[in-house]
Amino acid sequence: MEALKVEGLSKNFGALLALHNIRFTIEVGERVAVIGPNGAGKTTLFNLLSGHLSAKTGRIYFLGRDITTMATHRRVHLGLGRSFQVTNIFLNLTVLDNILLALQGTQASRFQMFRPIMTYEHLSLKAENLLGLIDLWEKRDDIVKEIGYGEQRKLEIALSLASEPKLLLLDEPSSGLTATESAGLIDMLRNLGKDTTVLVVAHDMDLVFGLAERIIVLHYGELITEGTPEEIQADPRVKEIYMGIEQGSGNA
Amino acid sequence: MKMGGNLNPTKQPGQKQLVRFTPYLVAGVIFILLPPFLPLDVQTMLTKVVIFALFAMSLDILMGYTGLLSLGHAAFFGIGAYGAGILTVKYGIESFWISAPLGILMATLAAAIFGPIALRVRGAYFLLVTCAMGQLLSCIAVRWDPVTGGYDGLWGIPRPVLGIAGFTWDNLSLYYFTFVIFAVCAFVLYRLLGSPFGYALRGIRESEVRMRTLGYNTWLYKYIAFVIAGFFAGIAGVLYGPTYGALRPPVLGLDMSALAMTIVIIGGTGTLFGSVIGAGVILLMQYFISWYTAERWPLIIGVVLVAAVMYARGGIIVHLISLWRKVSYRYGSVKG
Repeated sequence: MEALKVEGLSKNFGALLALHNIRFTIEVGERVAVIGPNGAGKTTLFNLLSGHLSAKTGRIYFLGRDITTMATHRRVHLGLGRSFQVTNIFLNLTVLDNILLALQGTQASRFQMFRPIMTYEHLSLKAENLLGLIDLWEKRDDIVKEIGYGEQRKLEIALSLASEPKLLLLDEPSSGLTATESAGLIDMLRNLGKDTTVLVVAHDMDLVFGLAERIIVLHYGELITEGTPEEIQADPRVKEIYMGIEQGSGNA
Repeated sequence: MKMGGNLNPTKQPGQKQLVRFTPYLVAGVIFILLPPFLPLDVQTMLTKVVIFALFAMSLDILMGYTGLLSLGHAAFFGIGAYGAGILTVKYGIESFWISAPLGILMATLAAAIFGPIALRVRGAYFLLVTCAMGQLLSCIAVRWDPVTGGYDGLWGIPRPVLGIAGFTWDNLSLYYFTFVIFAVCAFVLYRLLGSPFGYALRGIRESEVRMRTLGYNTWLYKYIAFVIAGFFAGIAGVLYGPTYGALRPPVLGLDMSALAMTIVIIGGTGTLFGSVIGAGVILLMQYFISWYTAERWPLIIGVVLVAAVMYARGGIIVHLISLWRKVSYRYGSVKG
């Protein structure tokens, strides 16, 4: 079954065409990476998928359902979760409050107005599990802006995992992590159940090749190619895009 | 600085509770035991403190917890006050049990109508739109002379008629009456802000985009918060009329909204009970300074606001709490 199906997706910012006629599908349980140089349109693609931007043309199907014009929070309730490239967490709240808010977002109790948030036992238990997973349980009462950057990045990932999404969109999840932390993250993502589909945007090739079963290459808003990691590594066009940019001289 | 309530899930052992609750005991003595021994005009001043504290707390829901800076919050305060006042004075509805709920209902409905308009914009624009709403209502109060009393205002608002045989008001009973309503509202607000809903508001203040990405319909939360804030401002409003006895159009406008904002900032934004301290400081100063000068009051309040922002950032209550933590830590009673 298709977890995600994107058909002819385009997005422009004024005269700049950020994405042009993108089409691909992802099967349930697949781990797919999107790569491409800066400005290729990777984050724009994510913003369209999560509903933070609306597409100019094209359609997005999530588990067979057309979500092209659906509000962000409703997509989340269907099982779509995402993390942000620029850490987007609640800086003036504690680590525990951050996680509780994330857990509460898909619960009916999120509209409860009188019962203290700390009295929801099943959420507290889940919070302990999640924070244990990212080694932040000991720091649960710390204000988030006072913990380390690496810890904030891990919290960012944990927030997107809290709703137990069926499709997880990760935007540069390993940026700012040390090599060890990054390896831990790859392990954690690999260990996610096969009912969780993962789409990850990354520059970190250890993450891409350590996790992805399939890779999609974007360049100037166009989908250049897609294939297994081996196929992508061998593809001359991908080499040209990356080598060309690294040398800064046009052709390689 | 920690914003908002500290709901630490680790349980404090019993003997520490006494020290932990000492600030509440002090507040209880001042607001419950002390008033009978105070001069009459100080009793009235305390009544005003309680009313403005409630008004400022309702604004703090928006300002401190949701991150919505409103300069039009007095609109709902004023509608509550005018609504109940007009019903009593012009339409002869004597019973407070009828006029007050209707006044509060009008304030809440006004918030429900204004909310969608104001929430179309963000940040400084939200500030401007809410400000315009307050000014608009203030103008209506001036123009709609037959009902509102126009620029001269609505005079002769009586003390609440409760329908209790043989009961007559004095300054003290009016104070206690106001305080009880305040206390009930304060408790409800405290619970509201500690609930999942209250935490969601904090989340929206910190990052609305992230909240949407976690499954929250942030617009709906902001709208409900706006209406709830209007409801509690309306309650403060219906208490304001009988205490002051008269209403004039500025009650709805920018001056009153700015006063509420000043109280919130001086007391401590996003601390709920900071508003009580903010209202106490402002009204105490007003009370003493009015002995000497009336026309320099705006100058003095301006200086105090600047001083508070420069030297007591986060609000007086935040500094009181940290001072209290230091004192109690010294006696080994509370975790520092």
